[in-house]
Amino acid sequence: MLLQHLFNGLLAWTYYTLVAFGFYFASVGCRHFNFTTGFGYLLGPYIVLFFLLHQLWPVGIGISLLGCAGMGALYHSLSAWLSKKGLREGQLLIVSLGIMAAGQNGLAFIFGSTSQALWPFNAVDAFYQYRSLVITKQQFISIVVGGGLIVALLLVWRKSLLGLALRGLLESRLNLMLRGYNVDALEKIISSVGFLLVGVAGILWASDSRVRPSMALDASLIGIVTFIVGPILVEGLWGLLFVSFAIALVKVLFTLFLQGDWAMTVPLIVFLAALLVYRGKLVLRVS
Amino acid sequence: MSSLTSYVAFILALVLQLALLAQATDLLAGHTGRTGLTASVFAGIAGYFYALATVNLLINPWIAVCLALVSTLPVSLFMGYLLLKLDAQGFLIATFALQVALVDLLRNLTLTGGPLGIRDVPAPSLFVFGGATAGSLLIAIPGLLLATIALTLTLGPRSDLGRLFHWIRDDSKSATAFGVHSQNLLLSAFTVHAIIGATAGISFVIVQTYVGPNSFDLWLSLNILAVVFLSGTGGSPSLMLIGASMLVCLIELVNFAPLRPESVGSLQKIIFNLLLVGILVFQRRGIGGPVLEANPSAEMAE
Repeated sequence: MLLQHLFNGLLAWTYYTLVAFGFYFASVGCRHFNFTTGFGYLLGPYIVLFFLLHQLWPVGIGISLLGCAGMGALYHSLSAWLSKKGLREGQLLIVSLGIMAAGQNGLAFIFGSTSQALWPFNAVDAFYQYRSLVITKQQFISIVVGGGLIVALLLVWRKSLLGLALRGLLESRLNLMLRGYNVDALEKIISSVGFLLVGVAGILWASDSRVRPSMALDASLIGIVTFIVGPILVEGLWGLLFVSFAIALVKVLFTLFLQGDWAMTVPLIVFLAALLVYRGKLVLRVS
Repeated sequence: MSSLTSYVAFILALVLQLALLAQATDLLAGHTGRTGLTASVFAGIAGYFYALATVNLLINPWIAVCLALVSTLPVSLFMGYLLLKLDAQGFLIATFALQVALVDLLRNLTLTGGPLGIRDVPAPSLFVFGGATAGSLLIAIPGLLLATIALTLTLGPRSDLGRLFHWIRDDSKSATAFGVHSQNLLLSAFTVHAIIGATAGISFVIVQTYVGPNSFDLWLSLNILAVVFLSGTGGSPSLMLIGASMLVCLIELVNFAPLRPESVGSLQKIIFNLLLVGILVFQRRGIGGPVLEANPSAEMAE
């Protein structure tokens, strides 16, 4: 069973990292921590579910990814407009929280608040089996797609034009503007990439388990903890990766020694531990 | 009590609890610049403490009320010590994390009754006033009166303490530069905020005669924020009563809408979340909030 728990931990690490990256990009793009990203996490799997119910799930995946990216661009435009209207960061945060909650309840209103299967094939579809370890096809796809995306972002992103622009944006927005970059478009793209990543995370996570409206809260919690604690460890994406690892590790330990579903308690424990240890060093980089 | 009277009393209890929670939230949000969701967290902690003390330990309800209020003090000091170091944005998202995770924690602990919660919570009684709603009002009415008077006196324009809070809210850098102990003042405000929230939580549990993990979830926090912004953040504490009355009336109106029963909850939440967004976008001052100028030091630095 230990092997199975370790594999589940690895899978959780993949999902958490994707969510953390998504929230990070969306928040950098919108210049405030963005709860609406949690809605993007729901939007992806629910669009797939809609098409799955009409036997069109391959089309659904493409449309859901487009939908998530579009949502990112749309939210960026909205937050830019609200900033121009004079809304402060805290107020923008509450607006994004309200939109996330309204979206979550909207989906519950349309699809029902109970969980639904997102995998279009047999429920138990083993891909690989070794002693007590069983890896299903869904989990294999999640590891390959999720892990591939994470590795690509960690290795290629920093060297890509968009990655360089993101770093420039974090260092000085004004400087980037003076150099002639279209900062608004750049932020919009980064925000869309963030929403796209959480959308992918949502689809992978939901196809492995089930899709339910309250998933947005799980994702937001992971996004918050990694967003705050990540910069304490290492600046940028690596910090998010390490915090996601810590959350996944504590989750594995909880599953090994305790009964029940501690999915949302675990990030809190990591968070409080980080706050206690690094109390004097906490700085929110984006703000 | 006739069914109409008990319905009105129940609604009154609901309004008072929501007003208390909004006052607690606005003490931090409107007067010290730290918007957060901790009011419902402290309401949950005190509510659970009261339920455990009366149901499991069979302690007299009045003593349990006092114990529950006192129990929030060390928790608030500890949480305040950790959370108030964060900036305004970090504070809000950290309290969101705390709120969401607390619900999960309560759902898993056997001590708190797991997902089923704790049932048949007794109410305190005084002379002829007995029963769940009356017991709840016995806590909420004096609680709201005390909180309104204390906050109005403390945060009013003639109060030195109020001026210090507003200085921290409007320009924390210059306040610190002039020797104001911002962290200590914020911690004291946080503790008072916790006690007001706890009073509402106890009253909430008494009127429901039940407490469960979902009694103090994100939905409650969003309703509190809606009341705060509808009433006008940073304004008079008594305005929260008007905002709470309006919101509860709206909730009740949606309850009477001709919808499938399972859809009512979701529709209510959609309406109130959009209401919260709408107030922030189109009417930031709410009913009677002041115009708040943000952080002159930060603007000068830019």
